[in-house]
Amino acid sequence: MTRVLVTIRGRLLNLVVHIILYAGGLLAVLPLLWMISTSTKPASEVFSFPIRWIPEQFQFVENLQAVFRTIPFATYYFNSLFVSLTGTALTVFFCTLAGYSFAKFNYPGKNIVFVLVLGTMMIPFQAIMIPLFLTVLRLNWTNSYLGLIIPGAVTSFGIFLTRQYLLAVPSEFIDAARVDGCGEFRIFLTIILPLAKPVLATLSILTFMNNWNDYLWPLVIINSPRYRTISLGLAMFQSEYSTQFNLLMTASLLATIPVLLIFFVFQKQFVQSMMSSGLKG
Amino acid sequence: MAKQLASAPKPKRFHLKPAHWGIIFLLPALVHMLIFKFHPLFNAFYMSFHEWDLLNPPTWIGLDNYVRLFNDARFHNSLSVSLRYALSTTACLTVLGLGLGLMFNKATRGIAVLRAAYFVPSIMSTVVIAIIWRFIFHPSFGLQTFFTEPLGYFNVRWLTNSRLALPALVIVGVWRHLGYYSLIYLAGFQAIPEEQYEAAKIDGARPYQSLLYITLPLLRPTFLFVAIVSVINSFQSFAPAQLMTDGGPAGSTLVLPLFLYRTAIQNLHMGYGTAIAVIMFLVLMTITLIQLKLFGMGSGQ
Repeated sequence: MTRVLVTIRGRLLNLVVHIILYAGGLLAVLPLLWMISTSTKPASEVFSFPIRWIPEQFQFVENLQAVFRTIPFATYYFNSLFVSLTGTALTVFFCTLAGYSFAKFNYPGKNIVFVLVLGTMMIPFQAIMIPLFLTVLRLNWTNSYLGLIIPGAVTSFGIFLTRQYLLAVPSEFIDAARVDGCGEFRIFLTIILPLAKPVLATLSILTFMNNWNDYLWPLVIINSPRYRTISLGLAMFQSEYSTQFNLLMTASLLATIPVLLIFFVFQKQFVQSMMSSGLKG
Repeated sequence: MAKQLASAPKPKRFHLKPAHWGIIFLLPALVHMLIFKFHPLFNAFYMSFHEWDLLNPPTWIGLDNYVRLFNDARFHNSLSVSLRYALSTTACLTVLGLGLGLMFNKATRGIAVLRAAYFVPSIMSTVVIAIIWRFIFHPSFGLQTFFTEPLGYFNVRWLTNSRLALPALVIVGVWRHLGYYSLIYLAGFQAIPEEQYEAAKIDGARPYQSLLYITLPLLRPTFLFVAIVSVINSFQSFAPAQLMTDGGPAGSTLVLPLFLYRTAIQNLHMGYGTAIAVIMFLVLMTITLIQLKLFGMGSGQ
């Protein structure tokens, strides 16, 4: 009798847990659904009461055209893609190079330098933002791709991540290649990079996402519409057309699509990489 | 002569040892860090002793910026807003995240779908999030009416009421990060060896006792991690305060990063701005140390 009761209680608990989890999950994606729903509405239905989730008049394409008519959305999109992809490529390359150096070479002062590199992980970006802005100003990099890309092109997190991974790679591979007369840089390109693929994927996903979503830094150094990234463009769009919610949501949806795509394609690596970082804006 | 050259072993022009290559490989990253991390960090402290508007040369004013900050009511307000925002967001996240993580640990069905659903908010850009939520909080047509009107509240002005604006931002912050932190907790739960529970069960421990005496103590590092990372992240939250409320109404959401941005970038008070940044840096360090002390003590690690 008690056993039956215990099982019933267990099942009930299980049911409650699932109901709460699913309700919470719905709440988590509700704003996303709200964005999608609003992006398909004509202006008249945005301000309708009660809330209509599926509009009577489906107007996504018109909204899309309106967004491209009102702001140079294609430019913003291209800028974001270009800056994020180039930035990610540079970050992955230079961080892996440095991580490889820390993991597999011995030279005086290595450990001190590594501790210093780790230490920079604790510097909040906003604490050095203004001096960084002045550096970029002095380099004449404001309103340029260089200013958007270079200051974030190497991250201590990336160096740390690749170093940890490469520590576990057996040194015999490298020694064998050296005996065969393979140059050091070629060893890096042909042996180390392919071996590090999983960690490179993790780092790329995370870096791309951070670059794509970055807002404060572009806001600080970019004035010219020519170099606005998508985040910046969206913010400007909102300040000018603050009540055109259907257009705002259409633009927001477009801005979210790349990250969502990567998320759903590489879900497992994505979750793992975010868990391994704990560092995001 | 020509024959001789051909037969002689190829002269090695640069023979570098692997150690040299190690240094060469490190060099680009190191130079980058010197220019874009260490130099700005030192410069931040250095500049905070100056007055500088970018147009005229900087003048040394010693500790004046800090003295002014100490007497600046706007700064006191910003610091207080930021502390309240960061601490309440973190409190919600550590507690709700723990509960949610616990439930995730018990879940059997549709975990992949659930995980994806909870995770989506944390990958979206803060600008997009701010835009969506500004509409959600619209007093008469926003999604919030769906939840507040059944409770008898109509036309709630979340973003223009000075008592509701900060809680509204906290809601956004919690919504954004909850999934992420609950998955961190889940990883923490799963790292606890199963034998611990089995041993407790054999000794006749009830489920809640296992939770109280095994799970929670062993979860302390995870808890600490979540608390520290959340404080540091939410203290730096900028876009929602700028785009949803613009620091208002009446400065009630003027978080420190926004105050910093306005002072330095919009009003070009570089020295005063860096002094704010330095204080921010010190506050974050202090909070982290306090948390480490509070939760780290007695764990023997």
